[in-house]
Amino acid sequence: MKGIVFTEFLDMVEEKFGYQVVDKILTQSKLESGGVYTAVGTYSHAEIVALLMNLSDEVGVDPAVLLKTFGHHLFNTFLKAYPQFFEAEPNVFSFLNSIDNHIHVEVQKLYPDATLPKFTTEEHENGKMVMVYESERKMSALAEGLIEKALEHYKTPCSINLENLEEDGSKVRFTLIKTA
Amino acid sequence: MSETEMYKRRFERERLARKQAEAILEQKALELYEANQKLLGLNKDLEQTIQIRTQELTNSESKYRHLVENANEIIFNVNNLGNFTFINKKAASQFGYEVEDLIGKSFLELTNPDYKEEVGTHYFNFLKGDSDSDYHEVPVMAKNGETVWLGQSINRLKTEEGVVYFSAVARDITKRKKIENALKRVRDQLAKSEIKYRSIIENMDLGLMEVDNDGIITRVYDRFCKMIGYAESELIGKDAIDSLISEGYREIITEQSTRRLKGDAGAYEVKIKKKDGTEIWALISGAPFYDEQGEVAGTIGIHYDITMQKKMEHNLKLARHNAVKAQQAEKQFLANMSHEIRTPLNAIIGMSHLLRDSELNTVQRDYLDTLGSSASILLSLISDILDISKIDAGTLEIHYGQVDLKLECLRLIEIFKLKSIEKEVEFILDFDGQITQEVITDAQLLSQVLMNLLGNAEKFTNSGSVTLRARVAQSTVRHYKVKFEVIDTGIGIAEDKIDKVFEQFEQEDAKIRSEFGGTGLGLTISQKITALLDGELKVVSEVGKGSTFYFELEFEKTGTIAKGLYQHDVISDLNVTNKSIRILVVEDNAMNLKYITSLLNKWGLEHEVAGNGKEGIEAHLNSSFDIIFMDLQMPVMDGYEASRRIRELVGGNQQIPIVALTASTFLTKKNLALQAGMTDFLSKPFTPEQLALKINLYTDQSIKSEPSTSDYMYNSALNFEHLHRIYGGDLEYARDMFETFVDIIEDEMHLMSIEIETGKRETIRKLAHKIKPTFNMVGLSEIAAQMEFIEENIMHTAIGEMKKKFFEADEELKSNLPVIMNELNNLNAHLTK
Repeated sequence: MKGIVFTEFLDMVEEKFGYQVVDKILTQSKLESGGVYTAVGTYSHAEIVALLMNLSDEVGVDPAVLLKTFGHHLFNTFLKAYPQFFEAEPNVFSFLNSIDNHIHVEVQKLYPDATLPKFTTEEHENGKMVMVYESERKMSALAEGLIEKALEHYKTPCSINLENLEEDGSKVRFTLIKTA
Repeated sequence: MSETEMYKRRFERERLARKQAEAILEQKALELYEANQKLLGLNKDLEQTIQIRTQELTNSESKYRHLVENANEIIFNVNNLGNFTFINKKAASQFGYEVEDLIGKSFLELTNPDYKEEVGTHYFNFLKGDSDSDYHEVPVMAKNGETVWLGQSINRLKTEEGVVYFSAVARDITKRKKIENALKRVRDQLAKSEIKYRSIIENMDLGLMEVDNDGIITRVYDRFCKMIGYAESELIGKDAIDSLISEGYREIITEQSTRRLKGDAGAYEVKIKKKDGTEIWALISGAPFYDEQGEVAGTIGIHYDITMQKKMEHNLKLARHNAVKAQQAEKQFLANMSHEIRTPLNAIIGMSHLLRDSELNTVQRDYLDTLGSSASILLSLISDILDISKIDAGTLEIHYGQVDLKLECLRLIEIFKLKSIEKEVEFILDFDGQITQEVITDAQLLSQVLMNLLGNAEKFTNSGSVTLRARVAQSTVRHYKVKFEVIDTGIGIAEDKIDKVFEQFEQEDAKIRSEFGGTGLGLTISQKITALLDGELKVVSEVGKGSTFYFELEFEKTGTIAKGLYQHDVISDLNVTNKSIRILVVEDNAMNLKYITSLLNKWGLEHEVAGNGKEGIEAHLNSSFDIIFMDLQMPVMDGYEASRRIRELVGGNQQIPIVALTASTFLTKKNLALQAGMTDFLSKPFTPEQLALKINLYTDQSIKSEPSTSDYMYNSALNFEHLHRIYGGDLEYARDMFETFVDIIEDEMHLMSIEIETGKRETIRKLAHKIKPTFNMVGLSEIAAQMEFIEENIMHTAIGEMKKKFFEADEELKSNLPVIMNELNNLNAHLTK
């Protein structure tokens, strides 16, 4: 997993809970990398799972909620770092549609070893969009956080409905319906 | 403390993270540098390659440009107005210009004015059309005024700027065009001459038709349509043979068609059916015609109506056939007439003889001599004409038989010796002793030739000799080739006349005719007969010294030893006293018997008679004879059987000459007699001279039996000629014969009538045979002939028919009996006078 996910996650933890919590989960967790992360490095996925679980234990918040909150945080980071992706798309639906078709394609070029989730569009019509998230990482909550922030960014309020297509959460259908 | 430691840990993490990031970045920077280095290298290579390629391109372009400019092809470009934008040297020089003169000029300006419009239209159409390439043949007017023909390929192209232009590659095809034009002219001329000749043929009376290789009509010309009455449309697509050719002539066409496929021409005559069903004869000349590949495409037939010619040809054939038939009939008529003329002529001769015996004055006697000699000449002329016409009419038959050549020659020489007894001419037979066997030939014809030649020789020889010479020219196991010569010491034949002697009615000259007489047919007849016997009569002669007529004949040997071999060549003088000889006559016919015995008595020859073969053998055994005369057909035992038995007797007189007395003129009978061992034969009726000849020949006698004449006239109803011949002046003898006839004839005929009723064929035949000569003895030749007819036909003809014949003869006899009785009275009256 890309180092930026770790650095951003730890930034969010520090921001929300203070560096004590950061230090605590880094110290508690048994980490291959020894808890040292740089945005340009690459680290094992298991480490972010361990950090999330320790954080949940530490702060007594559901990991899914934590993950969704991380999604909110990460969206803002992306927005600052890669504004061109957002400028290119006029509305939220076309932006969401471009993730799998355009953004992930570019990411893959830049980091050939990156493992990216699939985020395919099933339906895309006026006022409604149906998408399927698919990843072994089972981090649909992160995706949900990102989507919520994107709707906010494009000022397009929508109801979001999640439907597990696989029980373990590796495949999830998102149905977005515009509310205003 | 924990807070401090926590910050320390944070600081440491930050530091480590920075180091890590630095290491990663340094690593990335290094990778970037290396990638950059590689790129630089690649760039350099690329530049070099581009440089090389550019150079190559430049080279190749200049090479191609050079090629184009100096190419032996005419190459040029024009813009869409047809103006030259490029032209190579070859093109310019071909047109007689410099390259610079032409750039900017219009292609059409160069085009031959006669074709300008055509070329302009062509390229205008190309310009408008969709096609990007085109080939056209264009005549260009060169600067010197001559036309250069171009075979021009043109391509529509675009410059990089998108401007359309045309690139042309052309070849000078002037030479080819010239040949093509020449060919075209020739073809035009050919077409013209074809039209010309076709119209000539169409206007001639020839009908033309074309058929394909299957015989299907593909074209019919007007004249042929008129000839056969069909319209062309009625015939096209039809089978020519089925529609037009008459039955019986189709095979000819089929055969011709096969030849036509091989490219052979041919002409033939067939019958053609017209539309109206009538037929015409056509002479067809057929010849194959060819397609462009040189294969036979069909046949053209030229038909010429030869119906008229065919009719004429047919009529000519008919006319010729009739002419030949007429000629044949004429010859037959001549042959018949000659025979008919002889009978009255004999009367004239007989009469003149009788007249001579009457009392005449000198002048009358002279007249009579002239009359007599004229009649004789006429008779011999008629005989010759008869022979010649028989030969010409092809009715002269050759009857081959076994012949003793020496005996024949002896007989002839003897005749002439007797005949020319008053002349001082010696007759010599010079016969080759090598001819020891009898041979196969026609004795009568051979004798006739030799007789003629000897007669001529005798006629033209007044002193010296006449020699008959027979020499073997060649002898093989099975054949003799004998050369016969008749040599005289007479007047000879002039050299310039010698070729004419064999011509019909030709004599050497008129003088000869008047001096020596004769018909002038003798040599012609001899020559023709010799030819019939496969020989050729020739002559050598010298005036004043004599002539030699000669010929060669080939004879088949028989293996039989010739009896004449032991005969003397020279016959004793007439005055030599006859040696005493004894003669046996075996004969069942009373008249014949009387006839012979009377003669023998007259000549003072001792003789015995026997009534049949059995009695004959007994007589022969009981006594010794010098010669036997033997009838062939007799009751109890016939002459053949008797002769065979005599020849089979041991010792004594086994080889005695036996002369057959035969009434038959058939050679087969004579051959049978010879096979039975008989020596010779004498045909009945025979004359006293003929009988004397046989006796002289076989017994060394010299009986002189000169034909005597008398002035007695037999009744003209009888065959007086024959009667004169057999009785001559011996009227007493004649009277005896007539008496005998009257005595026996009624009984004989009665006997025969009984047999006729019972129908026993063999018995009737024998009776007819026996009675036949009896009628001859009194000059009733007609009845004798009727008897002969019965004898010859009884075995295979219905009895009823024969019965009819017999009663006819009987009627004839009854009507003639008074004549015979009268004749007997006359003879008696004459003798007692």
